[in-house]
Amino acid sequence: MAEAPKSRWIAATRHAVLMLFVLISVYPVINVFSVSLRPGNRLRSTDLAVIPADWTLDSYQKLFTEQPFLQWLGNSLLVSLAVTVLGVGLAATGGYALSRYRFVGRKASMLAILTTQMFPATMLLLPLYVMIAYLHLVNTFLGLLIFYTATALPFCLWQMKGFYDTIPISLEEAARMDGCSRWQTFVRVSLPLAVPGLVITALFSFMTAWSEYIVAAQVLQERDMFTLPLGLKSFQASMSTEWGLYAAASILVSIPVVIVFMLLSRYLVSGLNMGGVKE
Amino acid sequence: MAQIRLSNLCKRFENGFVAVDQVNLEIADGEFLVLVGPSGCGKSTTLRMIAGLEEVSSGDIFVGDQRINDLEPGARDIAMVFQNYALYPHMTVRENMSFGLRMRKTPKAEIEKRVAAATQILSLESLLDRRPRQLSGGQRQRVAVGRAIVRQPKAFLFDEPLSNLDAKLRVQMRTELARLHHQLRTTTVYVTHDQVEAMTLGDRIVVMKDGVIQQIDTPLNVYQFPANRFVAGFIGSPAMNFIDGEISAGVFHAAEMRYPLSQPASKAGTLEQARTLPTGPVTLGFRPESLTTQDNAPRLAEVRLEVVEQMGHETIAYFSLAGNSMVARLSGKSTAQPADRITLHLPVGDWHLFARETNRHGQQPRL
Amino acid sequence: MNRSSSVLLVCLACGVIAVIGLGATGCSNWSTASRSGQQVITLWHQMTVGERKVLDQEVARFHASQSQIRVNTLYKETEELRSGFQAAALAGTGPELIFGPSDSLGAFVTMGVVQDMSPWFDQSRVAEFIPQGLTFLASPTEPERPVLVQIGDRVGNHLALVYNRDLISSPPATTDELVTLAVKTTIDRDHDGKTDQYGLVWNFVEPFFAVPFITGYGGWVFDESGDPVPALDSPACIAALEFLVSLQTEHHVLPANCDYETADALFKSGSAAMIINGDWSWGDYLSNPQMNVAIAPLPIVSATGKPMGPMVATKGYSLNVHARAEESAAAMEFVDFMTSAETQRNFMAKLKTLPSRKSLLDDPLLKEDPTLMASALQMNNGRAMPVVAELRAIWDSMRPHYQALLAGNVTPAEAARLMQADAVSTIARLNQDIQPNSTGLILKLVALILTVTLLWFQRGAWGQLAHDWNQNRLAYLLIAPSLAVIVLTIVYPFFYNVVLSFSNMSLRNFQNWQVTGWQNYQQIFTEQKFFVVLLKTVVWTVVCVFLHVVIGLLLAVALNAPLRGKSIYRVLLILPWAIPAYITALTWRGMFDYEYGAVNLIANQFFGLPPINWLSDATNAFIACIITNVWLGFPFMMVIALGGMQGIPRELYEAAKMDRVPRWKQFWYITLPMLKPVLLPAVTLGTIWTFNNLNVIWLVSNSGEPSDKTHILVSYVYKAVFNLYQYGYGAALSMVIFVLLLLFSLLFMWRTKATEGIH
Repeated sequence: MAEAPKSRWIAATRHAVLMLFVLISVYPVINVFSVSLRPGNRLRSTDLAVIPADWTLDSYQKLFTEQPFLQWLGNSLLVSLAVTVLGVGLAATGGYALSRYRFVGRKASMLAILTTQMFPATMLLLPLYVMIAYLHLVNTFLGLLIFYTATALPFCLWQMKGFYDTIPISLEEAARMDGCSRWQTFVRVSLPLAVPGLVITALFSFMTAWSEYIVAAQVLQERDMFTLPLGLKSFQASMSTEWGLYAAASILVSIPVVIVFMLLSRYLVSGLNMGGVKE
Repeated sequence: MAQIRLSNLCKRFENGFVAVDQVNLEIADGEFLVLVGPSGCGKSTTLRMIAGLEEVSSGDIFVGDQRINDLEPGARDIAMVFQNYALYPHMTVRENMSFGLRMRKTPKAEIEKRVAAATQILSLESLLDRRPRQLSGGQRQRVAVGRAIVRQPKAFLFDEPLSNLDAKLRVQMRTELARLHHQLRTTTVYVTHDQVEAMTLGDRIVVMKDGVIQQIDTPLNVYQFPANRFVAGFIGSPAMNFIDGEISAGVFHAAEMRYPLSQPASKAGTLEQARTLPTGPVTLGFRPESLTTQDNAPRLAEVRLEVVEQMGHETIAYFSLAGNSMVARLSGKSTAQPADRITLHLPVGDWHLFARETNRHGQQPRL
Repeated sequence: MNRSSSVLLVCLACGVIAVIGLGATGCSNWSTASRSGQQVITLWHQMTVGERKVLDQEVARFHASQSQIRVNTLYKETEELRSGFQAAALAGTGPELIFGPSDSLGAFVTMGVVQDMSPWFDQSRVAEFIPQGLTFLASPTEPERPVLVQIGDRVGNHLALVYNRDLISSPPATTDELVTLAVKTTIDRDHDGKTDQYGLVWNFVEPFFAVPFITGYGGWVFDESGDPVPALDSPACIAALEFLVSLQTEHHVLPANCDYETADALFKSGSAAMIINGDWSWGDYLSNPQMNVAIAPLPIVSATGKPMGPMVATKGYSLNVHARAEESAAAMEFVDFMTSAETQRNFMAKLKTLPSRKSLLDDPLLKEDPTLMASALQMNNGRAMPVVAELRAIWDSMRPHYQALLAGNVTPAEAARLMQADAVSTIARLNQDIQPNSTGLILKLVALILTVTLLWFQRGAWGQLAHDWNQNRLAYLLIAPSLAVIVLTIVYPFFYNVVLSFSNMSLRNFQNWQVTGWQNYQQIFTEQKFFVVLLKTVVWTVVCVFLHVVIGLLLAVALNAPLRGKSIYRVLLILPWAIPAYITALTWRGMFDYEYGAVNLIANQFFGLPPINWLSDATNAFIACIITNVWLGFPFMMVIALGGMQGIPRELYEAAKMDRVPRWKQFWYITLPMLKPVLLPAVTLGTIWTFNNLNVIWLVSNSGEPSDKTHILVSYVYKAVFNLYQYGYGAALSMVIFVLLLLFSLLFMWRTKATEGIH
């Protein structure tokens, strides 16, 4: 058929486009990796080789032996997981209410949630810090937890609301006919069906907490309580950045997120549903 | 088992739209009642109010002697089969069917017994551990029915359950539902827009339009004695032919067409008819199957056939009469061809008259 | 119980445990007396990694010397320390002690956030320190009474010449010699037109490093009146600028766009013969086993015969005004220890810092160590850094024009004139003291009336709410926690900001600010600058979001077919989204480097394109920011589009094929309209996020460089607040941003019905 060479040509174009962008996507990461392998803090180099000739794992070794890297990792995991659990819990319930109930103030709530994204976050820092201080939450993970959850929540609520919208309402009606209370309907029917959406919400919450440092720098006051990004930033002094350590830590910080993204990329495509209704 | 009674039931939506207007209905214990009407006529809303999925604006719903307006859907002991089946995608067939019983804390052994019984009735045995998305449309439909019957509720509600099936399956499931009802004798309210389903399944049919009940009667009576032009046009397939005209001296005129409504004939009661015939503008209705090419009945008109559909057991012929598109249902043996000119006859009494203003049935040729 | 509900219960339980657990770890809140009756104090410092090691040793020694006081040290980057300390002061908390150079002190004293240390510092001990060692400033409340705001443990922070002895045998004594030597050591070994070794490098783009040249030519940043009046438009200053430019344009002894990192890396790798750098960096060079390095004073300016004099600053400890009496006492005990002769000597020995105690000036170490000797010599040529808040305005005013000068956009004379003009206006702005006017009262009245009317017109809603509560109780219970969190953390700060935007909170009215009226808004809308930045922000947003969508769609279309390696492509394409932006944004900055950045290297090696000066040209830098942001954002749109495409029925395309609709038209008439419901909310959010994206601009263009020309509104706000302490102005500006975005979103949603889901 005349169709065959044409479709082969189209497939080739697809691959070409994808490869080009994969290259663009991956290169900066490789660049960081390359810096992390260079000996002695050598940030600048005209060498384009990924693995420098005199490569060394010194930076990685230093990270684990000279820096409380594992402690930071633990802190970050603790905070991020707590944010994930709390964020998912709140978004799962709040998003459900927004999707399924026509309660007084629903529209106002939706609008308020959207408008929270419109205010420059940096300006919220000062009042937020003042508030955290009044609540005696400075230098606690709880302070971070509240702030991170609040940061991630608006998007997560929107996303979950959009996802619940795609679940046919007749399923819930069937459940109610089957004798479920409204709460049981939610827990036993809607929630299990919203798992792809919940996974995305979890990912977002986790990412928010995992990569934030500006608020963390304000709240956390002890080196042992640092989260990873904060630890990472501490290698970056204004006049003397330890690029090797910074790059090595960057790679290590990124790996878990990348793995999570890889595992969830299937869900990511099906679960990300902001208001789009598909039947 | 219980009877269901709707009394002055109304549903007004927030935007002011009245979906159900003053519905009064009594459904006897064990009866199979079909709510039929075009989409938007309020039949589904009525059903959903019985189910408890829609709030009642005013009026009452009784099951037995109990007023259930304010009961939670789950507390009404009514089962419902949804148009899109609404099977829980995350549960197996078995879990889907037993879910309602588990929610009611029915003992395990009892659940198993009932599920087994239902699966047998519906021949679902081999599918019990599959999930809904692994099932075909017909299988899903059967699971949905199974989910309703394991509950052994006071009543079944069906919301257009067959409309998502292909034609063949629909016929098959239809008879299956009829058989099931025969077997279980549970009070059933069945909503459909398909008049064939209505005719074949219902003990009685309720025809609704714009939230108002047009007629409640047995299928045959609704067919033979439609209460108004709407019911007449809605029930029967192909639909009844209508033609606007006037009656003078017992003869119906429309354009150049003439049809004698009162004619001496052998049948009894003709005289009486002639006496009660109205005069002035009316709509004449007659069913496609009443028309015949045999001249032993009064002549209606000579027409030119436009389209002819030969089905084997019957032949459907389309033509125009006095500016109206009409259908005749002729014998399967008819050799009529498009563009043929044929003379159609309408037997005495096989017509309906409707008042032009109200569309109410003006003349019921009860024979 | 079935699986899902148990999962939910476990989640909730985990949440509760996490909250309790996290709360418990918070017991080490600031400095409270710990269980054993110990006093814990916190010190924020900005010591480099090398310095931190010595600091830790000394703290350990302090802990060993007594058992009552525990010190918790925390590194903060300069700006972070400053803004963090200010924020903490507003909340009435903060570390007991801060350590750093004296340049922030002027502002701290003006704001009233540091405490007078004289009660713990006996008058008799003043004589033990060299005059620069102790910083006395006039009290903001009682100008006659000097207060002790910093006790220095070292003086210096000064620049000197560091040279690689393998490349240079003896250091230059004059600038002529310096130029000759630098030219001689600038070598292109393989004659490929690219320099392989530079003669003289330093953080060329930073005005702080230009100060020694200005002093060498006889100038200074302030005039000699004693008040902080800028004197940047002097002949000396112009001459210094001319000389600086000549190094780059005539002698080519240093690479283009040479910033700190570049200079440092070049010198460390042996590719630069000389570097001008501060005392904080010397330890690193001297201890590098692969290098043979020496320190020398900066040369004498041949034209004037005057030595180049760097700014000299004292580094030392300051006490938080909010420290309680017992905390202050403990903190001061620690300060005594850290400024003692013994500790200072340890620092001196290990880090080559110059002491602040007179007794150490005669120390043999200082007489024997060549580095310390050179450092001391250099310091004697130096000039003390003025301890005034206005110094910040000097840097901020110099930087853009200095960088424009280096980029060849202005002449030295013009640059000097512009610097001076900017400095004068910035200082005026810094010291702006808005007085309440009648509008303040009107505003309060309007706010009151608005609130009352709102409540009045919403009164029906309360009854409705009460009625609805019975019906939709579950809905309220489900949404309440989310709303509570949002109200607590976003709505409260938002209203705080609204109030702030009508206030005079600034350097002069930091803790005692009050609502003054709409002066801040007036200022915004009467300045041309705002509209310029707004225009840039719009360009930035439109270009970024457009490219996000186009690239995202392109990739989604490419991926949306049965394709070999599809899942691998998908995962790799998501990488820019997965990796924290602060890492990748910095990486991109590195990649845009003129000489060493991958972008230029690749363009040159593979495509033979001439290198582009990405970061030192305003337009290019802005493009660089856009490229980075596009890179960061396209995966999100790709994923959204991909998800949307999966929901498009195949039949539509088949029908189109039957109708012989070409592929691109299929895309245009089927894919795009069908994607609309998923794309529009994403575009709305994407626009808002891009509009408010501070990170990329801040990290890629290094907070607005060059010349503050890459700012978008949010970074402009950030800079106004954190550089010029204009909290009120910043709050007003962010309100303007908020209203702009709100209007945009409402209009966009209304026009496109993007949120039909909402209504």
